[in-house]
Amino acid sequence: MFTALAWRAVFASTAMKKGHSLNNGENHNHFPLARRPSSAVEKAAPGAKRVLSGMVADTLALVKTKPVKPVLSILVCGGIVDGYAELFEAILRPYLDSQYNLKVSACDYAVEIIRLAEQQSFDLFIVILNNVWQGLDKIHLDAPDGGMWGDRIMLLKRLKAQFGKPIIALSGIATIEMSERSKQAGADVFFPMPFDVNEFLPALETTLKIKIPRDLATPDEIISLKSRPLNRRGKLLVVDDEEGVRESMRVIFENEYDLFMAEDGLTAIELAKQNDIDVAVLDICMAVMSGLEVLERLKILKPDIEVIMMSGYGTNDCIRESFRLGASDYINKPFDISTIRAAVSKAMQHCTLRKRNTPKLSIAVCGHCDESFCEWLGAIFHELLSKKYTVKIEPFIFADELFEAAQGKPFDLFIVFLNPRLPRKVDAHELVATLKRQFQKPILILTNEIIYGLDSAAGFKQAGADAFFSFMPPFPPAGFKEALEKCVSKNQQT
Amino acid sequence: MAGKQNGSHKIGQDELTVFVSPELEQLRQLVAGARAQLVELEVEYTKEKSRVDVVQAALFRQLREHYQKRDRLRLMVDYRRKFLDSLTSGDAEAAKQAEQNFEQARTQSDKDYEELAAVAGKKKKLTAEQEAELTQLWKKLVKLYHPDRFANEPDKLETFHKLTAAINQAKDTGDIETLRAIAEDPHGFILRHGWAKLDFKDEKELAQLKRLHETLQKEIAAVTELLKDLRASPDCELCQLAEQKPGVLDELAVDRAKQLEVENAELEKQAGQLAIKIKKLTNEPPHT
Repeated sequence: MFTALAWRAVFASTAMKKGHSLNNGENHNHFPLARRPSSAVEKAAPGAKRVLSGMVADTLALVKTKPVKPVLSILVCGGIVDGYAELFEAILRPYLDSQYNLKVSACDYAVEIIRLAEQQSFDLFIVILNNVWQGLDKIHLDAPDGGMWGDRIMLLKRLKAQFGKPIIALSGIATIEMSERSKQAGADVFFPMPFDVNEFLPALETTLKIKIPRDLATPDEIISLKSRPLNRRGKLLVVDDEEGVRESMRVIFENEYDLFMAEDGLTAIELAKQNDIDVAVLDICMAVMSGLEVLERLKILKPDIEVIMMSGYGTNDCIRESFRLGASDYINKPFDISTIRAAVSKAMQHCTLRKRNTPKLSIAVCGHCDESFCEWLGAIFHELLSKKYTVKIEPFIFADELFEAAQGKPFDLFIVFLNPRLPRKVDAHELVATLKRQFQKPILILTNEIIYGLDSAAGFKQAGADAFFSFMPPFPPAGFKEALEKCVSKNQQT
Repeated sequence: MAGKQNGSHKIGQDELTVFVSPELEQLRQLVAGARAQLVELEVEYTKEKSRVDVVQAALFRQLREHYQKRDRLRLMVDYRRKFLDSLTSGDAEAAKQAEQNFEQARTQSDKDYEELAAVAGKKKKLTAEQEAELTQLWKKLVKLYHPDRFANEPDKLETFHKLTAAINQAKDTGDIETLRAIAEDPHGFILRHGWAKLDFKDEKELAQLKRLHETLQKEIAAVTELLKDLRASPDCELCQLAEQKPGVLDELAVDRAKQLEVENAELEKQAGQLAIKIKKLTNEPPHT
């Protein structure tokens, strides 16, 4: 029930909104509110206010005279190394630049991706499903590693659910199952990698509901993923002590890959040292050296090798141990052709993708001749550099050998090992200074404190060394990782 | 008083009814409704103003140098022209006056920029928590709007003006700290500033409640108007533009800076030419 007063109040409010005053004299001493505007700036300095409004007006005038291209922002999620943002930008900019203000960002960490997308709105997500088969359902977004290696399918689902923007999924694993899975998870389109720009553009048009002009001549600078074909056959190593298995593998794969056969572990490791093997198929139960042992040594020798284990009577422990040591797949014997084919082809794809994405780091060690030492050092460096590089370490005893080799192929980093047991042909300071002068690459010195105290670091640094570390256990010492990373990043800049 | 009446309250099951003046009760409801409406409007205005200010501050930071240079050059060109005019007409007094004016205007202009820089430096985007907190703060603050109960007590009325002014200023500058301080303990805030005590209890009298309600209505109308003005302002237009298209503000600022560089170069040329003329006339370089 409204009383007269209530009606009056309602009327008053509407009247006042319309700018009429209801105080027709009867309430002339009505409570006076502190009137606005009362902003500090407005009150204190009318000049300052003028300056600000001038700036705003000028800037807005600029908008009106110049048509501002709408922003098209794309987030590339995943991809083992940086550079994906630049790659997609290089591909798309020539087509989109006339109409859109293209912004491409890239991010690898799942958690970081979500955070980025929450902060700024993206029009499109391009998700690279590169390691989807690894760690599937094992690692989630809230994993302690920040979800870096989290399941990308989960990421797809999350992106779709949270942001509802178009998603294009790309993968080096071009199976129908992969395509289906990514589409189920929320991808609008699935593309196998490498892809063709001419196929990619129509997909972009449909997902973003935009029209992309096609009449431009394909500019030379467009980097097509397709223009980087696999120019070599994959190298497959088969290790089995049964002749029959080796033969059948030869029949299955001889047309597809370069085959290497070994009947025992030692031969296999020798073959792997001499050849750049991509994928190895290992039997677990072998005489002399078991498959697991071969796997362990292969992984130390070549951390990026893909290894498929097979066994006729593998126990759960055995399978678990295989995966712990870094095997990428496990197959029961006897196997059918399609199973082994699929496993090898998947491993090959992984390998080529990783090779394409992983930069190589070539290191020369001077002053230490032991190959196994280099293997060990290589494995440590691989770990220390967060597995971002394929590390290759070559040993040199004598300085002149090193110089000769370094003329032919560029090393990314020199490690001078001040080893007291080796005959020193040149003065170490002179060696460092010459290396620096000739090759301008980072130099890292490892020393045994018996001969060279750590206080000699200053002298070597003066000669051109970038870092100086003790080689006494425990190795690596504190700060070594940082120094190594610094050397590597410095090298990339040069 | 027992028995059913208009506006009476039922308490419990024992049919006890307490007489309340129907008008008073309805007025209380109206006051509560008006307060809720005012809270909503104030929160919206504070949020919007803060957004606009953040964008403006960003623009200012990017363009300050160019604008300040332009304004200085403009003043200088203007001064040299006037100075030259007065010299040619032989009016030494006017020349001196022009010099003084120039000096003054330049000091003022530099002061304006300093002030703006100080304000712009403090502008920060409201966090999600702060935005959520705003509603709670305004619920408390709106209770502080009171009718003319202080009309006959000049010292209290003055305190009240100061308090509402402090609230308004904090709202306009996005100073959430001050809003929080006032909302949490208005009496403490008043005491800290050495103002007279205020009583914020709601009135019981019909006439006073009426005035309270009208005050609130006035305040609602005022904030609505403010919000409307803000939304229609170029400041808000720029803010919307910046929010719709990330990065556009930076681009515009870069373009504007380029324009200003051209303008400044032209002004510098003019100033230089005037300086030559002045030197020819006085044999002295002009005041810079």
